[in-house]
Amino acid sequence: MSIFGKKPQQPTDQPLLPGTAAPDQAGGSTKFPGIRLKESSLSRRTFLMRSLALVTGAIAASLAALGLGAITAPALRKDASQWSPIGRPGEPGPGEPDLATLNTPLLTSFTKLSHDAYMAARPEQIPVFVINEGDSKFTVFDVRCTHLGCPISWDGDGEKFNCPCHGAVFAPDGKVLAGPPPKPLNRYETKLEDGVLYAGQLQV
Amino acid sequence: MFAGSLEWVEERLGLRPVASRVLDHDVPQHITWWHCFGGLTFFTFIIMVATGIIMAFFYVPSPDHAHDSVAYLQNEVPFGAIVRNLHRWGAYTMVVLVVMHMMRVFVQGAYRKPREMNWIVGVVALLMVFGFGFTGYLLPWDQKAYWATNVGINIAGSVPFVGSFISAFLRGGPQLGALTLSRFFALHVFILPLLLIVLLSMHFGMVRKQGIAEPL
Repeated sequence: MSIFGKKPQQPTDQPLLPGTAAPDQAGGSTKFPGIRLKESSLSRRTFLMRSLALVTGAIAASLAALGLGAITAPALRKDASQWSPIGRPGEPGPGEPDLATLNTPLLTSFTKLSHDAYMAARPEQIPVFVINEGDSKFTVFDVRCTHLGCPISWDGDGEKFNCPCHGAVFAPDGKVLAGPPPKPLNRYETKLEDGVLYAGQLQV
Repeated sequence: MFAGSLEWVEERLGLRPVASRVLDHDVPQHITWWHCFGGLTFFTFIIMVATGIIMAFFYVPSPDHAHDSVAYLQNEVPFGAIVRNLHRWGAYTMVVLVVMHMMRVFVQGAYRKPREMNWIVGVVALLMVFGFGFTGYLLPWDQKAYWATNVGINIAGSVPFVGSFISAFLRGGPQLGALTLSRFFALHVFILPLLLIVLLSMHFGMVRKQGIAEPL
């Protein structure tokens, strides 16, 4: 005798396979004699196979959902909102840009704390074009061309922005004048507080 | 839309006999619940592979970033904590299940002729599972990981004659550090899985060839 199961029974000429009906089950339930079970088109074998497929599929789908959720989440993450000082228009400190000149794009940069996943937060220089439009109104353009991200430059004589990569030309208000870019230059949110100009989120 | 796709493939490749041979074979009548532990161990191995691959999207085997990247996965990534804990608890479960499997084979005497080779393959695979546990324990690179590995390597160092070489090899030098972490990572993620897959193929192939042992 064994706790691991019975010895195989006397071999019949037709071995009993899972799902095949034993001869004594044909006439009715052995537990409840007299009650005839309804004939079902679903055999035990098919039922077990489908159950197994269902459970396997559910486990695989759960794992796939966890994995896809985890690895797509970083793509949906937004930068935390933060305001970074650009300068004090009209009264620049040492090393700061003078933002007093009206209606002329000025290439400068601001320092933003960059949070790169598990890396320690570190300061990052973000180059921008700042235009003082007077009346305490400022436009801060991202320097990257909206075509493929090359840095644009300001052509003071022609009063336009040029991209070196594919010949794109932008107007001083950011509109596309020529070339392949699909949309105008991107801007940063701005605010003027206590005489300091701040850049916020990039408006894409 | 995809109705008939299966028939389309079947008409060209004729895979149905292969599938039924692999999945739909007869099982002897003396099978009991005790016979499930091998398959359950394999199931946990699949869970380990799946969750391990997900974690590989985030983990960095460098002393500077290992702990931070694990903490990031655990605290910031959606489902990161459940994926990591599935891997962790799955590892504990796998060790328990594989030992149960081995006990069944031992008590039942299923290792006897003609299945001696499958027993040996199984014992090597068991050692690999322990190797997975040992190498994986270091990867989070926290105090517990560091000192547990220190203890483990010192135990390996107590082997007569070659002990000091073994411990230096495991450490990748005289001190437990950057090279230890990267070689434990390589063992855990590349070497051991490949070897275990090969061994499991042999293990399962021999079971199919020789059948499941008769009870005592």
